[in-house]
Parts: sequence; C-alpha cells; structure tokens
Amino acid sequence: MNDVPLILRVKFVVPIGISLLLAGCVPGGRSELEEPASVQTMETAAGTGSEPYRWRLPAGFPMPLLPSGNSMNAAKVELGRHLFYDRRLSGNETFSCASCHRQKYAFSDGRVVAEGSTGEKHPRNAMSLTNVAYNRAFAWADPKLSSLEDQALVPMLNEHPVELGLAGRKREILERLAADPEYRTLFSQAFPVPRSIRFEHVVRAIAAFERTLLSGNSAYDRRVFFDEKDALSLSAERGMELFFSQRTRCAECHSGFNFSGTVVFRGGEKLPIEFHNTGLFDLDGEGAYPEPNRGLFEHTRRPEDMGRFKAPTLRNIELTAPYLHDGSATTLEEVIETYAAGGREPGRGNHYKSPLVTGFEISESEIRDLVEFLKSLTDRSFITDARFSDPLQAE
Amino acid sequence: MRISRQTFSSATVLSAIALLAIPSSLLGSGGGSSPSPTPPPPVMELTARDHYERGLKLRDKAWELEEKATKEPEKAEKYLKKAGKEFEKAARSQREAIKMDSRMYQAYSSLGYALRRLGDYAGSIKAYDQGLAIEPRYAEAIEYRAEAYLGLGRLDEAKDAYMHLFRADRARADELLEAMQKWVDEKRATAGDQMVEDFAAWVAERTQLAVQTAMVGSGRTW
Repeated sequence: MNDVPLILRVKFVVPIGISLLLAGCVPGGRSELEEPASVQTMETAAGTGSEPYRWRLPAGFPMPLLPSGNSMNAAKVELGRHLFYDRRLSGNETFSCASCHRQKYAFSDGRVVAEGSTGEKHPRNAMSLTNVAYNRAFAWADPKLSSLEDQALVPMLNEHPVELGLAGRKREILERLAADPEYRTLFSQAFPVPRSIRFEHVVRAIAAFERTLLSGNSAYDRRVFFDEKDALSLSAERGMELFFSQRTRCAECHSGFNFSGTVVFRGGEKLPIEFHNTGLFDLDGEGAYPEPNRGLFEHTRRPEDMGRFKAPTLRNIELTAPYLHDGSATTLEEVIETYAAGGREPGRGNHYKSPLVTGFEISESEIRDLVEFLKSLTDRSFITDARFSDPLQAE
Repeated sequence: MRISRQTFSSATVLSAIALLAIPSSLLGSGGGSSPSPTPPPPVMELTARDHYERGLKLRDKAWELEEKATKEPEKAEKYLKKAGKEFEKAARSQREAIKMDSRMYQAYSSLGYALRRLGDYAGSIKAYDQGLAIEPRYAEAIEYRAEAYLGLGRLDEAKDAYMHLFRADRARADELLEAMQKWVDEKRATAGDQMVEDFAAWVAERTQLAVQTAMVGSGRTW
C-alpha cells in the first residue's frame, strides 16, 4: 500500500472544475481550413488536468516527448519543484534531489562523486539535469532506464549505495507529506483523481519538474540562433571551428542542439542509444575498467560493452566540474588533453575503445580556444531562473 | 519545393448538403403519368474554398508545365508561356477566394506565390503581408515572402525571415537557405557586386551553422 488517502485529511477541495473546463476549450474564430504548418510558438500549452504547463522552449529546441502516463500541467510541475527540494524526501530527512543536483552547478553537485544521505559515496559523478527532458538514456550507462520516471526511482530506492534512502519507507514518506497542509493542496491540484497521495504521484511530479529544466540561452545560442555576431569572443569562434572540425571530431559524440548523445523529442526518430569507451582504463590488458564503473558492461555483461558510457550534454559544462563518469578530470583542459592523447595511458590501447577516439594534434592556444567555446555554452539565466529554484527559499 | 497539401473534408459535406437541398421536383419523382421535361442542372455556388482549391490545382498545373519545360528544352518557351498563363489563372482564383472570405490566410499566401512566380514581387509581398497579418505563424508565407524579398533585393528582410524560421521551423529555414544560395549563384553569374558578395558570405556562414546544428534523428520539422 503506497498511497495515503486525501479524502479523510483534506478539509476543503480546491475548485479545479473550472480550470478543467477551461483546459478543454478550443479557441474559436478559426476558419474551417486546416491549421497552418505554423512556426512553433515559444510558449506552447500542453497537458491536461489543471492549468496547462506553458513550455518556454529555447530557440531551436524541439518539443520534448512526454511519456504516455505523465502529461504536464502547471500544478504538477509546481508540486514537483517542492518535492525536488524537500529533505523530507530522504529516509533521514537530510537530503533532497537538489542535494546532488544543485541549481548553481547546473543541477550537478560539484563533487568528484556523488554522496548519499547517509554519507555513502556513489561510484560515479552526479550528472547535470540540463535539458534532461531530451535524454534517450539516463544515468551514465544504464540502457534500461528510458524515462525520467524510472530514473527518479533509482536514487530514491537505491541501497548500494544509499542515496535518498527511501527503500522500505515509502508509506512513512507519504505520511510525512500528507501531514503538511500545503502538500495536501499541491497534490490535490496536481492529481485531482484519485484523491490520495501516492508514491507514483511523487515520482511523476518530480519527473515533470525535471522536464522543465531547459537551458538554451547561452552566448553560443545568441550567436547561432539570433545571429549576434559579437556574442562569441574571437577565441570562442576559433574554438567553435575546432569543435566541429574533422580534426577533433568533438561533435561526432556531442551533437545537435543539446551537444549530447542520442536525444528524443516529439516528431523525432527514435535512434539507438550510443555508449562510448573513451580509452580511460585497461587494467588487465584485456580492456577491463575498475569495478563498479565498467559502464554498459555492468548491465549487459558483454565484453565489448566494457567501459562504454554515454556522452553527456556539454551545455553548461563549465559549471559541472569535475568531469567524466568518475569525476577524474578536474578541468576542461584536462579532458581535452585526454581526448587529444586518444585516452589515458594505458587505457588508450584498450581494444574496446571507440574508433572515434583516435587522438589529435592540438596546441595550447587551441585548447584555450576550445575551452572558451565550451564556456560559451553556459547559460547563466538557467542557474538564476526562479522557476527552477527552491520554493521555500523563494518564499 | 514543398507542396502545400490542404485537405478540406468539410467541402464534401457542404456539397452533400447542397444536393440534399435540391427540390425533389428537380430530381424527378418518377410517379407522374407523363414524362417530365429534363430539369436544368442546379446552379452550384462556388465557395471561397472551391476557388482556393481551384487556384491550387492551377498552380500544380503550372508546375507540371515547368517540369515539362525542363525535360523538353526545345519546347521550353512554349511550356513556360503556358505555365505563366496558369499562374495568372491561379492568382485570379485566389483573389476570388479572398473576395468571399477575407480571413482565408492560405489564399493570400497562394496569391503571393502566384504573383511572385509572375514576377510581381511587390504584389506578392503585399499578399503575404495580408495573410501574415491574419496568421503570423504561417511558416509557408514567411518563407515565400522572404523569397519575394530576394527578388526585390531586400536582403536584410530576407535574412530576418531566415533567422525567424531557423529558430522555429528548420525544414522551412533550410528551403529558404537553398533559395538564397540559388539567388547568389544567379546574381554572380550575371553581375555580382559587393552587396551580393556580402550576402554570399552570410549564406555560406549560415549554411555551415545549419550543418553543425542539424537535428540528429529528425526527419522533419517539429
């Protein structure tokens, strides 16, 4: 039993009927001719239930693909924001999702590897939630996690290591939430039917909030999407050329509007998830990576999947140091030098290494240019946007 | 070139209603002793939609003739002349449609297209402006108006239109960029000048950026 009924606890019912009716209305006055193949508006209503969520898509970004069981509405997103920042959502009430996904670090944590609510260290670096709505895969190398809803359960229920520490404590958590009048209101607005607080509602609301974490207002975006010639420094312009060049081949793995591996979006083709062995380790001359960070191999047990991880987004990469799946690179310069060398010694000889990681010649000034370009992908508005901030601090 | 495929299921419905409204005496009851004189065919009023669709068919016919001109160069002049006539007829049909439904932005866009193909760039832009005043999000009109701007050498306005489409409708943006490159090639073949070269540099840069930002896994716009 993972739900706590609201019907006995809620003393008044929020008048959602009116908004439900309004949400179903279609603007009148349009000719009977079909809708235009129109230019996408920057704000688009979506979802059902309470007031529709109004997307604010950055220029050039497609509409995210939503899972069938979790439509967007404004109340759900707001509930998700509250839950995301709420420490009551950890077993010992010391941790929240935001403990490892901090807005000032573009929703990563600034640590080498993440740390759970009991102080246990996670084997891998916390990933940024920048544009997570478009992810085809979640975590560094888990092919089974195909939705944010599935992914959100991992830190909640994980026991090795403990992250939020909710395993076996779902009912306790729901009771904590139901005891708070504000949450009773927020849940009833976000999930009018059934009128109870359920664990799946918690998960869906957090995923809905995470889908809103869109970032596409960087100097690069102003240069490319708004044709602002001086948005990038000359150094960043040179870096951009290098980034997309055949010499460095950075864009082979970090591609498209999100500078990442495979993405999903409405109307887009569903492409296979890509994972890459970048030649960081070869412990035994047979290609072994250190346990438990063996990438896709941990899930498939196929030798050729050893050390294969997904390419994360490079948007806001300046804010998400340290780098790589194990946080072993402190700076962007170090990452570039590693790729320029075709990996690390002796990992660069790993016979499972991606053929894309061949190494390349690059001068020190070119590394500076490339780093300047990567820094031009920083979206400062993303880390100060009140819509994504802790609602309790905002109040 | 993208062909706008508009389907109007309500057309069929309205035609059916019109047929039902015809008095049965006109259709013949068959119950009389002497044969009735053959009734005159009912006069069907053309709707704005009918005119619009007719205009599209005429445009399609013009395209077919242009294609024939490409395939049979020896008869190209004849085919292109005929195509011009069809574009003229298409423009007339769209004007009729607009006369009957002044909010039909698609008809303004199709009128703009026909006029552009007839070389009347100013008239074309005016038609697109009118259509876009009704439906500012109509990407087809934004793209084709920009091509009319090219025809008049209004390059800054064409560039603005491209940037607008680049942010919101990449397929249309790509088509416009192709048209811009064609314009550059044609101008260079005749009498290029600094303005053309500046624009050519801009087109080259935007082409490179378009390739770099190509949407992985996208077979269409979104």
